[in-house]
Amino acid sequence: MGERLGGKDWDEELQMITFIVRRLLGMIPTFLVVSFIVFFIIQLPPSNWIERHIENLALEQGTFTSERHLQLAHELTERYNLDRPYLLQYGSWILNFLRGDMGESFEYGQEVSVLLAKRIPYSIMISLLSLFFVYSIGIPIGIYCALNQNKISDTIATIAGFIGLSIPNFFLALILMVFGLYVLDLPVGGLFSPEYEDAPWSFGKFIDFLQHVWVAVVVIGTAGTAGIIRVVRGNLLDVLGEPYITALRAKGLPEKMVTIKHAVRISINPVITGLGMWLPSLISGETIVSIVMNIPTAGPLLFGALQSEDIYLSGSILMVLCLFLLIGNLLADIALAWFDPRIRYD
Amino acid sequence: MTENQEQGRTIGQLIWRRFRKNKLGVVGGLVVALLFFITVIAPFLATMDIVEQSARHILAPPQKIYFQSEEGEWRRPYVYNLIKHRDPDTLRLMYTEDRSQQFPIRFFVKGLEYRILWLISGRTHLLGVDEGCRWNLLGTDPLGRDLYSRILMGSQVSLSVPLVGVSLSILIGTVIGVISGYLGGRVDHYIQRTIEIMMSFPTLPLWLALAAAIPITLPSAYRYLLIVVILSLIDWGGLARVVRGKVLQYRGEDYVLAARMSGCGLFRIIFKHLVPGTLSHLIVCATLSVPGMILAESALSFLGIGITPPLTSWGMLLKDAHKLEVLVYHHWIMIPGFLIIVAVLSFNFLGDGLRDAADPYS
Amino acid sequence: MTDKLLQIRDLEIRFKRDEKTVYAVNGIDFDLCRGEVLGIVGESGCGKSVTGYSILGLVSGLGGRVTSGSIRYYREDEVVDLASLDAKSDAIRRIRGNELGMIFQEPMRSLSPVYTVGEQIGESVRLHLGLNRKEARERAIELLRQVQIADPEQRVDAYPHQLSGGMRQRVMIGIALSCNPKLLIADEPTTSLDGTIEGQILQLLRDLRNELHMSILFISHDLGVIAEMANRVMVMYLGRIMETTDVKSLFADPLHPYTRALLRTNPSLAPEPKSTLTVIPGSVPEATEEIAGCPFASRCDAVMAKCSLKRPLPFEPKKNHIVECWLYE
Repeated sequence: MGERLGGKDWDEELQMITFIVRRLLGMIPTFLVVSFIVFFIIQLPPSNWIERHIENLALEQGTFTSERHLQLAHELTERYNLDRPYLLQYGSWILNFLRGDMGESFEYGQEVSVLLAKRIPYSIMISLLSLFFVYSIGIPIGIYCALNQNKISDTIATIAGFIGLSIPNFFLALILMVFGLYVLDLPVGGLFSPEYEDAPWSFGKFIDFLQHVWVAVVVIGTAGTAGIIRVVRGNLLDVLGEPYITALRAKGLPEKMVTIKHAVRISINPVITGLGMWLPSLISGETIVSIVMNIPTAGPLLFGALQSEDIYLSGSILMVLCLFLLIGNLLADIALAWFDPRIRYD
Repeated sequence: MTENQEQGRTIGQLIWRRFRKNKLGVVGGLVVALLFFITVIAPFLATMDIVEQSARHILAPPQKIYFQSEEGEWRRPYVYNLIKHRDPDTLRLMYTEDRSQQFPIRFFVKGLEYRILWLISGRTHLLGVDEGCRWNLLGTDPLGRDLYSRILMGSQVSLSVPLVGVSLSILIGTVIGVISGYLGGRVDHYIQRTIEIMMSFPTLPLWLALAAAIPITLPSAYRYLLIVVILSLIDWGGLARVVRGKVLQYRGEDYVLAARMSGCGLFRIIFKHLVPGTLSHLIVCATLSVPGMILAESALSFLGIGITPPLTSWGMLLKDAHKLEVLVYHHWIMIPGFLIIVAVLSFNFLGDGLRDAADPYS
Repeated sequence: MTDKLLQIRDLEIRFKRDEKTVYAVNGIDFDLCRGEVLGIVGESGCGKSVTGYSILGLVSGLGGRVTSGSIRYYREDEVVDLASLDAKSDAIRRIRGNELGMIFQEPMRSLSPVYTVGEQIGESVRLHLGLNRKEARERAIELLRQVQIADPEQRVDAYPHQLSGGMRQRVMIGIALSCNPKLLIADEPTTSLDGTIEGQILQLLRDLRNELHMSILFISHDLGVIAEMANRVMVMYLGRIMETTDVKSLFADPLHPYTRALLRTNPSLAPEPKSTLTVIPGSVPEATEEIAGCPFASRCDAVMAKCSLKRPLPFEPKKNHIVECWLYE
């Protein structure tokens, strides 16, 4: 029996591996198209950024001689292959990006990769905290609403969900910031209090971090939570109307087992795949909320870079965000295949 | 029996009957209608020029409207002028009423010339006060401009951007969706892949990038148009998918096959037979994508890369609230935020009601 | 054979749909004996399936309500009125799936898609018989063998979507039989299956009945299938029983005009083989209002003035052949 069971597990593993490999291969064209679009967009502003870059340098180092000016222009043209055809420029940009060479930020005078290494982890941390918040609030409320369909509590939760969907997140951020600052007397804005700024991670630092980001997490999560409540509620109601639910009751299962073990499990599948759907809005939310609250994540960096046409910085941030989404989608697919055996075979 | 009765009605009548039962949807619809009505007649309702600045009225609070004289007699509503000064200790702006003169609120006063819908021009405004008083019904912004008038005129941008944007999305979405669904095969495959890729972009960063690419020097009206284009460029994918799904469904139906057999041209089939079938879904989809557009425009304008002056919008008005100290002591500048919530909420209710009415099984 | 298992009296079931009341079952009486196969036949919407669901207390989960009547279930040492038990109570749960099993019309949609068939069969026996995981698995394999699924040791780990419709129905039968029930309620078990598979499933059910000595309440719209399966047949129309008799008399000597009309729609089963295929004029009215007289009056070819005024009493013109029709007064 042990042997045969082993056979079954191996079979499933093989299916999973083929599934993952197939999805990975499928990501390659998507990645290429996305990166090309990003490259195209960051090149859109009509101004000559080489000239601006040299002007920036001149502000720091004093005016250049015209010879030095030409030389700098030439160096930059070399480095970013600007004298080559458009497609080749793109090709070298994306190859360098994949190798980790993301170019230099004109504004900060630093390698983009160094800047990103400092900022991106916080973006991801805040997005994941928001995701956790969204799931842990949205799923239970959605289940509760479906099981109490059309009762007062369901109606209230539905309307509250709609209101959550309808508040612009920058506006909610403003209101919660005022609330936190003047009513709760909590620090607002930034990521850490000064005493923890450069300290190594500790429990105290983590608590300080949470105190700083809770407004952001709640704001980013609000719209998503409302969405999840709707989806979970709708799915669960659909599933509860399926014939197999009646069949399960006919087996004599306790109602709790029917709803929790069977109905809920199936109805949250789309919520897990929905990860691909929630992530873009989480990242959008994270971007604007960080800008509003001045949290040093990738959001404000991107915003600044776009405004100053710091194109290698903005392009790299956009690419990293897109990659983050692609990976999130992949993980969601894998999770779904794990939960729902039907998917593995399609 | 009732089945037969229901079959006797048109789809439109059926949807309308089901929609009427949804109270939230009906309320949403009414509020949306009211908002648009107000938007159209905004210049008539506005009391002041929206660009007129006044150093003596920086961040002035809404004036109190009195219905009784100081002696307690009832009389025509009136307001007092406000006088600015600073609190000697905190140096904060303070306003006190100038009780020396009362300014009654009058109806149908002559003022700034305006046009409604490019058609009706006039100088009559619904409300106003006599010369010598600056009446700010909802207070002023940090440049001393009248918030009430700015909110009204801002609504023209805030509510027209989603409307124009969604129309554009419908146009692009329908054309591409019909092509994708009707032609099928390779074309369909590539279009669907493209839409998938578009939908996997983080929308706000992409909007930021595109909006930042619009030259700042561009006139306000062009910028408005480009913002609309940007918003619908990212939005049409969902609509195209709905249309494609419906076209695929209807393509196999007998009446479409019959039309093909009888030699109908491609476009005739599409516009005579396929588009009407998808119309109700299209309307629902469009209504549901309006809230996203309102929110997107307000976010971009809030960040300063959306609409530019002299035009204004609710999101742009909220820019002043970004400074928390301003927000805390001058809470009236949050009013546009609540209007955004009301507008988005109403569209959500309306769209949700329409969706349930058009498709009771989803 | 006369040992009573179920006694149903004056059963009424109502559904609420779009603020209208649907009168699904309107006061029916019948008995079911141990070892008997009772067929219920009728057009869709006649209340036959709902009757089956009500025995297991599943009507409330579908949005309906048993408004009056009793469903007395005779256990070894006591009699339980199933209609009076709360649908979610432990008392009825211990009986459902244990002493009373049920199989459904759509095997494709009656199994949970995310658990293996072994887990779904095992769930039942662990619950009712208190087996542990390993014993449950063995019992599941044994049951799969019993319902004649080839390779039960392999199939026990299959997910429902990997099985054909016929196999899924076998699995459903396995689940229903997992605790050796006294009664199997089969609600159109072969309707969604194609011909050859249908024959196999019916054969399996007959074999299992002989093997396990259980009763079957066999619900179908198909007179041919009923003829193959049942000992005794009840014909239902609009929530009422029109005629009850043993299977031979029903086909040889149908008494109720509705039964006759029904048989004429199926020439191979009609008593006079040369009769032509006919349809019953009109259509089944919607059951959204209470009908005072005979529900079939509006379509009956032998209708009398009395028919639409007063509900016919059950008459017994021949022994054990009961018919609710004024013709036999």
